[in-house]
Amino acid sequence: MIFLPLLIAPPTQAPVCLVWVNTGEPIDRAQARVEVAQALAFWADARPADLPLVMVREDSATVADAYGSWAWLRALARPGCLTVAIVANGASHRYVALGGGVAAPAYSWPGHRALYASDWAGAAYAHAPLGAQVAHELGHARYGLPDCACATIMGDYVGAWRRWQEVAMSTDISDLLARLDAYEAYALAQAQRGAAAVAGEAEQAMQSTLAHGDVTGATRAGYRAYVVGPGQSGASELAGAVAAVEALNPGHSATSSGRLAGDVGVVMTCPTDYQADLEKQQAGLKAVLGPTLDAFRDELTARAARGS
Amino acid sequence: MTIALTPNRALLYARLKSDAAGAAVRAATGAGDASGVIPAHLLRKPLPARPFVCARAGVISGQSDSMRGVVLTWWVYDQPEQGYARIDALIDLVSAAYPIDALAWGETRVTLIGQQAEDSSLDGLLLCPIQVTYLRRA
Repeated sequence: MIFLPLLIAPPTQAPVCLVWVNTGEPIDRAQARVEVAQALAFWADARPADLPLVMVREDSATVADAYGSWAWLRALARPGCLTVAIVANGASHRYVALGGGVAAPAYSWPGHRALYASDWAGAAYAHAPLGAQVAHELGHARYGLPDCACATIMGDYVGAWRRWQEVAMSTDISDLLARLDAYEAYALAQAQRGAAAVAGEAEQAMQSTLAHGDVTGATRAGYRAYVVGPGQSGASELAGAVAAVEALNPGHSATSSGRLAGDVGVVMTCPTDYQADLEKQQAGLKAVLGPTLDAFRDELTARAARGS
Repeated sequence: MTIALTPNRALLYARLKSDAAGAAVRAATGAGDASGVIPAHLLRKPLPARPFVCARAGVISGQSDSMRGVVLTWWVYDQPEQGYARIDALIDLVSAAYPIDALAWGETRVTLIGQQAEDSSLDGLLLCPIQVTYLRRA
């Protein structure tokens, strides 16, 4: 005797049937298909371990009064298949999406499970796309989720849908880049404004220092603290300091150049040929620039960051 | 509880003058002991054997309700004919003596190693400053 093994292949997908009801009404089928596909993709992401929902069939049907009775749902249902019916029914109900499910007995038929959703069901999510409604109904139909959970799903779906829209819109980012450029310019200008207020205080403190004497007055007159950054090279401030030194102690001005490491900075200087000695002799006994920087650097940073 | 901020100047100084953490610095000075570590107001002739280190306390910046820094600058001196090798070695030892948890209740950091220079008021001794800052909310 020979026994032939009976092989039953396990299912690899959960089939979904799409039915267009009352196609006499205007309906953008291409857009509706995209949104239904997005709803299926939503659940594939949410439940990756489950069999994927796959659209396997499309039908059309005409129903005389789609809202007068729900009995016509039975005729549309296919055994073993979740049925999604898209009903175009004028302005009061843009769409009705029908699926199969077990969580709402009032609209459940043994064997073929049917549920519905319409615009009013998504009232909490004004202008919720069709896909959100389908995703919501699938939550009932396939997983038996209660309505509150399915409402959350609809919200989640709407959020995801909006992100998809943003991604689609971000193809052209020239406007975004222009706004970022404008913001950068604004932020730097504010930083310069904030730093300038503290720089003025630091300059006054240096010009009244008692750390050293000043036979000619040139040193105190030459202390400067000024902002450099976009549109502010500091050239006029440095020239003014040099002029002040030369007026009081001719032949003893000196300058050097440096490189600004960031976008905005404050220069503290005294353009004399002996300032370097004052800063370092006797372990900084007569130093002014270094201690002033120590005293004001935190405030400078904070005010530049605050922009005032 | 109020924790006074100014005593930390003395604690930063004692770190090299007398604490165990500063033993390597003291040993590397010309005197080989604590006499090679002096405060700035004693920076007058006769100077300690070279190299030596000299401390000057700086400003305490910041507002009373914000993070405030207690600054102490060590000036490392040596004879011109020695070049900067021994100064650089001392700079590294000073840095090592101030780990972030050197003082309680705050953080200690080396915030500046300055430019190498000469002090014309001290017979052209070579020098390099290294600044340590103790930062705490106070």
